[in-house]
Amino acid sequence: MTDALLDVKELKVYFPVGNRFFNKNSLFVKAVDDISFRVQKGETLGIVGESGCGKSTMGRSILRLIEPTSGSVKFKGREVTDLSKNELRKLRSDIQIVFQDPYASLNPQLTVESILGEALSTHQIGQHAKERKEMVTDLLVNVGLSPKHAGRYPHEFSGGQRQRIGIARAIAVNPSLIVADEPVSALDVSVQAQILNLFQHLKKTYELTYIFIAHDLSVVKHVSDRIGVMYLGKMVEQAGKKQLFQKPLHPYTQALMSAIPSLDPDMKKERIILKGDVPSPISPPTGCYFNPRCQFRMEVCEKVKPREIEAEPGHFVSCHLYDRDIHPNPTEK
Amino acid sequence: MANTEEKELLKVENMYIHFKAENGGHIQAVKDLNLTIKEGETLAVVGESGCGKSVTSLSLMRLIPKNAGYTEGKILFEGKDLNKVSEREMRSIRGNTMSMIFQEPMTSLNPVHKIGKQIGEVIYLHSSLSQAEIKEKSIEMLKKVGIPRAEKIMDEYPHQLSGGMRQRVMIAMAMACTPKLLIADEPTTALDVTIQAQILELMNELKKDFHTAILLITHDLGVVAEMADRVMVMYYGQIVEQADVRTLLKKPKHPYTVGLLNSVPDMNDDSDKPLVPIVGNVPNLGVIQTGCPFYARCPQAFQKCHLENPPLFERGEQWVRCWLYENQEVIA
Repeated sequence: MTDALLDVKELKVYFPVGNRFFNKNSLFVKAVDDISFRVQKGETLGIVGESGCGKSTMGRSILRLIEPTSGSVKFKGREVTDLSKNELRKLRSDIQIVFQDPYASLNPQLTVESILGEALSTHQIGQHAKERKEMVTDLLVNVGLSPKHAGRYPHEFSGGQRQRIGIARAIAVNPSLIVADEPVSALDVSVQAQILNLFQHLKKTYELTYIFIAHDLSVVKHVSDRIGVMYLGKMVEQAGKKQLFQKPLHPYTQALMSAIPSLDPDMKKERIILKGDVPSPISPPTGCYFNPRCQFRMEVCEKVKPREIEAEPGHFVSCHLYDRDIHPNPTEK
Repeated sequence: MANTEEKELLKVENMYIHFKAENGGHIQAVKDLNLTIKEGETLAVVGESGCGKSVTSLSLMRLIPKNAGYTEGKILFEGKDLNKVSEREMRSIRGNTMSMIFQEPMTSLNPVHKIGKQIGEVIYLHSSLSQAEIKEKSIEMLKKVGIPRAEKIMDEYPHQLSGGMRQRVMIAMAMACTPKLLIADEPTTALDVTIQAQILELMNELKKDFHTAILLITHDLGVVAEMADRVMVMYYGQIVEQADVRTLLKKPKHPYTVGLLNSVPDMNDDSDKPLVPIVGNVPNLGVIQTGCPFYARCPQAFQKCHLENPPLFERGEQWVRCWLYENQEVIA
């Protein structure tokens, strides 16, 4: 396999809970629990999962906005987790993030020009103020705003326009990887489509690679080349978009897909309704984390954690159903 | 599909909702709204933020504070004009024959009272049951909405429950007095898809069991396809289109409805073609404009659209507010 742009191995992010001072053996929320994946240059990896599955934490820990507990994150062959503060700052011009809430992620006291100019000057892009000003104008045009918006403050914009500013700030420093954390979930559908198209357009213009995190499967399907499905801090399934949608293997992925209401009122599909809620990540179930809600549960699922299996070329799944050592005929469910 | 011979349960005629604006003027959040809901029917109201769909639902329950704004027009519920009845009478209707579930299950339950007390209160107010019977009925309702260990949950506080559980409790409260009309304002927006599927299934079951009509307010066209018999699309405080669910989703007429449907990524489409978004943004309600409010974003706009706001052209069950359909006898 060629060298991936980003190679994440056994990434773990644990948060301690409870009183740590008196209790040395405190509990942990395993927000990201042993996740490995690669992102090739120029592709879009979509990450889906429900609230609390750790998808945002994972996105942030790649940039070390949240420090990983253990594991390795290799970006362009360099280990990110070992970088010093100065080196990390340089790295951040190469990996950028777009946040979910365009109302909270822009400084209300700065004009758009200062918001974008700050990104440029921090990363020493552009020789002098005049050049930076021109760059800001170009950026605004590229994200579908007008140069006259440069002097305005964030509150003067609608949600969709703010998200465009957030995207302009991310591409300002010429990154090669952008982590987009639920970038359209706060927007109305008509505006959401505009922003999704903008992401596609910028990907071509700037030769970007995306990690696109969202809870909405139809959005992820629209933008991604490959998709990873997360459940309770684990990556339960990973495959190319077509593979995943034509033949979802993990019972959770199957349920997730069947839960999405179809736009066609005549298409009444067989729906898998999951029982109960997502268990607490502080005390996850033993064995496979999904076993209490799984309709194909076997005895082994309650005891043994499933390992990741390449069920088909490029299609990874963590489920005992597809493990030949446990299940003699893995294609049958 | 609802039976066409069903009785009209709610009929709203020429409703306007005004809010006081900062500058001393008024903002019309809803303009000239007409709607009817028959018994046992589900009517979905769709639109983007700020289109007036939530305000409409609050106004039907008379939950808009008097000092914030006022409602004009007739709201006939079982023949009674809710805009005219006394506050006392309104209280006997709310939660009894007409009830509501809200979007945010986190904030719509009282955090300092136990679940049992909150459900019991609804039953206590609208029936003459004894304490023991109220408790029994509350537990029965909790079981009906699929809450495991219902007896235990009676003694728990809202913060001990997950979002999906809280929404089930809200539904149990709303259905406790078997209302004729349930208003559901974005009931699943705050929930994950797998939980949303559970709640939607539950609402459909309850609708069948109790023959309750549902006014479903949502922005999610997938939920509409799943739940509704009829759909009303709102834009800028007005109805722009109304039709039965099949017609609306398969043969939308109004350019805004068409735009909305094109903006949603289709799960069944494997091609990588770009989405067709609606250009621009939803206009601000405070800005008074002439012509059709969708004019600036409409790909099919012509000169008349700029000059005059179109009326609703009614063709039987289908209504469209668009000049394109002015001279058509039948909306083909």
